[in-house]
Amino acid sequence: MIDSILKSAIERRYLYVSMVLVVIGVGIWSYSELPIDAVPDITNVQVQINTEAPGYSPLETEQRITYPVETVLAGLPNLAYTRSLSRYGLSQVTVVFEEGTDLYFARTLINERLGAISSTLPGGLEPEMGPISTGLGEIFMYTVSAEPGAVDDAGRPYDAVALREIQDWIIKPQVALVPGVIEVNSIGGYDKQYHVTPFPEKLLAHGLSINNVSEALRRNNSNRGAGFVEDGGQQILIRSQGQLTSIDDIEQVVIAIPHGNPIRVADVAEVSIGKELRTGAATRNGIETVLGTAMMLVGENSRTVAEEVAEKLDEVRTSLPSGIVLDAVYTRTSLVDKTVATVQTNLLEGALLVIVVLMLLLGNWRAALITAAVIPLAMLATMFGMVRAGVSANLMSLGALDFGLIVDGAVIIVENTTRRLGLAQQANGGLLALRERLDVVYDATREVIKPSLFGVAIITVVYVPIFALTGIEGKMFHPMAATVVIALTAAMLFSLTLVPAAVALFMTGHVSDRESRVIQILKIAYEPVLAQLLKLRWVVACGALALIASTAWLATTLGSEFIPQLDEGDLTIQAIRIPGTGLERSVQMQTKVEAAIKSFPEVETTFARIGTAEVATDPMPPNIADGFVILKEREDWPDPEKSKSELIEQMEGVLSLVPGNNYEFTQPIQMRFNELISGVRSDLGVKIFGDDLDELNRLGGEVLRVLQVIPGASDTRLEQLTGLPMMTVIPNRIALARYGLSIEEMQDMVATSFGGEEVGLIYEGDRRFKLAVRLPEALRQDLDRLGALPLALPDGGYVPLSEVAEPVLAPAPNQISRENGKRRIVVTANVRDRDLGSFVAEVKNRIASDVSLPPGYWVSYGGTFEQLESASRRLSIVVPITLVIILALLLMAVGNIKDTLIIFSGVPLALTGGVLALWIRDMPLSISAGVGFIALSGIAVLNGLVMVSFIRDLWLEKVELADAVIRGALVRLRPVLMTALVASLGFVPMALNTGTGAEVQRPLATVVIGGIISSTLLTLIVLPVLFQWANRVVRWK
Amino acid sequence: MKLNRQAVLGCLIALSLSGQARADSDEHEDEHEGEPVTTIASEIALDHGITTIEVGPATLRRTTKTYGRVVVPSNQISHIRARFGGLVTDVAVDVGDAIKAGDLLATVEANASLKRYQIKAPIDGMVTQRHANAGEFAEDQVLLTLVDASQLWAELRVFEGQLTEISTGQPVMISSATQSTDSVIRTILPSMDEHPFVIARAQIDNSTGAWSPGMFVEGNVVIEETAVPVTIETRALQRMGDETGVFVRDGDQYEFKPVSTGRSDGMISEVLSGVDTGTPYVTGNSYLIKADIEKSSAEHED
Repeated sequence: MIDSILKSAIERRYLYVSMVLVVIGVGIWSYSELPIDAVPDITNVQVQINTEAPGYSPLETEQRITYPVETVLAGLPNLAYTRSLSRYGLSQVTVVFEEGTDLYFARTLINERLGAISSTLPGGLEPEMGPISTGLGEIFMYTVSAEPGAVDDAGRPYDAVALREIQDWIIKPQVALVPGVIEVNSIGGYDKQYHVTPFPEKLLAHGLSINNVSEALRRNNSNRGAGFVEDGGQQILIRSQGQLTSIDDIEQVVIAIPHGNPIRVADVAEVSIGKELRTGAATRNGIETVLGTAMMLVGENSRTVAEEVAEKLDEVRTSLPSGIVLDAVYTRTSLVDKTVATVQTNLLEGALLVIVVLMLLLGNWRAALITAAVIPLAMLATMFGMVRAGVSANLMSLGALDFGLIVDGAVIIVENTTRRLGLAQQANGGLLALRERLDVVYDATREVIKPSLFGVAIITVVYVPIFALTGIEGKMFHPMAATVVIALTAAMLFSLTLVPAAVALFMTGHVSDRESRVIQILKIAYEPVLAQLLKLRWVVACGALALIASTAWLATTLGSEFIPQLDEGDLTIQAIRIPGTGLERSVQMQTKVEAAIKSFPEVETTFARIGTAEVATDPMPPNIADGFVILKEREDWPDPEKSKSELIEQMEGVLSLVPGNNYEFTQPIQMRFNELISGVRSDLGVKIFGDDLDELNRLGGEVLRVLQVIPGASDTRLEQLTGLPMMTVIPNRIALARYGLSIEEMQDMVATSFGGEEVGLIYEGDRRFKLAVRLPEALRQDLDRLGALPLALPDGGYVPLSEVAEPVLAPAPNQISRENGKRRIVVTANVRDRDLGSFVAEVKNRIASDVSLPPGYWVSYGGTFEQLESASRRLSIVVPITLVIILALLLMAVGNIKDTLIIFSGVPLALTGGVLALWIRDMPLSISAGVGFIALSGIAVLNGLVMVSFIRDLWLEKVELADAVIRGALVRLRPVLMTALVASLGFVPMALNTGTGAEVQRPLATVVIGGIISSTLLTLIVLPVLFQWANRVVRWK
Repeated sequence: MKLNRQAVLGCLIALSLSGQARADSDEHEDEHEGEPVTTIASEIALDHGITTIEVGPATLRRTTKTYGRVVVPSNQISHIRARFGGLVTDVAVDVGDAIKAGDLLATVEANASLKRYQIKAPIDGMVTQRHANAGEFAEDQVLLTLVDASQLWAELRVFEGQLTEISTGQPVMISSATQSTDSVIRTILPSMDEHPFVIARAQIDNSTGAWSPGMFVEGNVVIEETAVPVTIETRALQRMGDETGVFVRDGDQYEFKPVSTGRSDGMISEVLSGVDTGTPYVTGNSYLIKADIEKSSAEHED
């Protein structure tokens, strides 16, 4: 079949070459369709269900909302697990589905189930699904602030309420229109509210309760349609208007008319524009601000969307009141642009280097151009494949693309045809006739097509184990493997069709049979060395073994990391305060933190989200602030040479002086992924499930003590469940009954007084604002006087709260975490200086023997040890299978076991170089480096294959073994050097680049370059030695 | 060779994977358990509003809040009736007129004697009601009501929980929505008609006329006012674990000292044990010290 394809390619060379246009067209179209981002999206298939429950404490939230929601979701198809947390005022249930579940399908299912329970939830509470976005979704952030001295129409300076109003009603509706934006989340400032704040003594004077005020406002604030009448053929609509529209309106509402004297709201209360009881705030450079975050729909192109949001903001600016400043503070565009630039430089420079090498070594510019043409064509075809396969272009997916590798197949073919054409022309004494030329091309191609195809096939096959990775590793590396496989397959197709066709079409001129000078010099040096070493085979073999052994040891001394962390250019500094810290205090503390950060000349701007935003995509308690630090361009730093880790170190030093904060340094995207994937992030997590929180806490403490003494345990930690100070008002039922009050009436009055009660909406055009009743701020704040709160009695008298209930201040659950429908507490530990497997086994034993669990409580184990276990289990199956496949392919190619094994010996030899290169560059082992080793094995095999098959062919032609080895090695010097050089040079820019994102690609490139150098040297020396040795007893008959 | 390669590759991948765990575990390193002590440089403390004062004597002023109404004491209301039934011949005063004791109010012609006799004001005060006009027949109905509002009383409701602490002689600040005045609890009456509270009465001087009967007032009764030798400001108290205490300053170092407190008026608390007079402790922003000491246990969980 291969032969017939080759034949048709050479015969119909015009047709085949013109196919190039189709490839170019399709490729360019694909490029416009290709999603581009900085990193692959590693978010799992998850749906967040948020229910806002103003005023609900964690316990009530769990009981009334979280539990019903969780229960109704149980048994959804493809459900992996649910986890939930119940906090003050918020229930969040995260539903994680099996990989590959369609997100929209999952959301539809959830929606259907949620509909069923809407009636069982407390009135007015509405579970909502989070935006259809992922960890990469927060692509754009902006702040809204007022210039100093700016005033509104009424001459007042803009306050936090006014800024939030501008964000909610002018900016947000416009930004939300940008295609690809699924949500615009606001945090900071205050939602504007109309507040009616009755004074208790005034109410008492009239014998009214605070609930009478709510009731009156509720019943005096609506418009109502009243149908229509026909009057003389004309239809006239009837409507009665009663909506409150202003503070004056509200003040005039009559609450009651005792003895004929109307008591208006104004008589007992103050009406004003007030602040909501907010759950989140934002600061920028030490000043409170309003922060908007545009979230991208899953699967959109982040750069495009972020750019469009930026353009939209320019439009929005024209519609803002004067003096209002809208600043873009974070945009994904810059990161993506920088990483794309890095990848482009790497690919472009790599491609250029490859072309130069081809020119030099082939010594024929037409041949070089034909080979080089495969590069852009393969790239275009790859983009088409990526679009089809749904792989996005990013640092990881493009990180293993080496054009040297891609053109290997083509190089071998072109090299051989060039050589043969040269020889044929020499024999012919001039240019060949068309027919002859085509025949020579056909023969030459056929001669090497098999090893070249097998080689490429092998390189492709070695990527297969990567597809066995699951979880986050899988999400990171599947795109990379997929892209390489697509590119290699495309290149393979081109070398089978386009390359021979193009050679037949264009190699018409004189082809010199003389190799380029470089090769000639190398050959002169190579021959005596090889001849000598063939005699010293023991030395060579032992040397090789010693090398392998020493690098294997070296490999164990290298540090290790998961994946080199992408330097996003910006920082996030999470400032964490003790649980129970109030939002306003947290804001104060954050302003100090930001002042300290801003004092660094490298910092462009810094801003923070504190607590939970309007849409609770990341439900943080008020004691935590996500601080973003946007750094200046490096040129603008006082010392552009300063490394980022140095800067972080200095910042840590300065920030540690700011009292009351703990810090975690991450980066925006990284932090978001951590938050979304969450779960247990330590090596081992012991989860204790049960019902009673105190009991869970106690058991958690016991497990913690057990863990702490097990050798190897470090960073042991118990999840903090309590610590939120809570004032619990415990009613005295008998006393209440004596005063004729029900518990509900008492609770209503307490809730309205302190939390406030929403009694309606005030409309201003499209804008709508809540109308709330609560105590005046000064009274609300005075907790000591809580007991003195007068409760109105049905007969018009009053009783102080302390007479009928006892306020108790005690720490209460901070948040309640649940997993799969059960409360749980987690004890986490990391493992140092011990292997994970035995540690986990010991922990399981010790907990089983030392911790007695009451009935209804059980323990389960989770953590990264699970991923490690499953990954190594998978790899221990897949890697041997892959090796067998490679061996089988080799066997098919060379036809005997001995040669197969000799070729295979190139693999460990190649790995030595990779390890050495890492060691020299002081890089740790990482999965990226691991992928490099995988690629390396493929390339090493390809080299060996080319060499051995040629030597054997010579030997078959009854040349003396030693002669065959030397001659074969010499003839193959050029292709071996060429494939090796192009493959390694293709990666050189990637290994040396220092641009944004280069650190992610560097280890892979380093390993491959190091490995190819060692593998080439060793292929040229060890392989011939081994071949001769292995075959020395065999006499060819 | 085959085995070797397999082992090396497998080992590399396993190592790479385990790298994830190690990289993740490098958070929270500076955990210092135990000593509730922290050090904050003085200029930073100043910048963050951390202020210190010394433990010392102070006057404790405990108050309790009550509500009630302003009433006219019964000895200052006079309902004027005719002594002998007869015809009212003349009424000398009208509603709103201020009068002195002994002023002529009305003249009545007795039925029996047909003699005219004068009705005079028994008290100083003001005419608040008039039910009589010349020519009308007076029998035993009220003709005029005189009220002396120069002295009013606040009747404050004292509920069970406050009862033990309230006694006569205690100072009380009486305030309405717009004004306030100082007074003293004079009497404590049991409530009529079985209400579950008692009435504490305090006099209000109404010489300016700003108060009026029926007004709803708030009474802050000073139930205790004593000089206490060892006190701290209540806002300095913070809870650490199960203990309440203050942060004692020593140079730039702040240490938590559990304190057992006695009486408190919301501003000042009496110290029973824990700190001695003269010890400098943190008052302003004491929460920040607590936050700083406990911060090592704070972490992000969700």
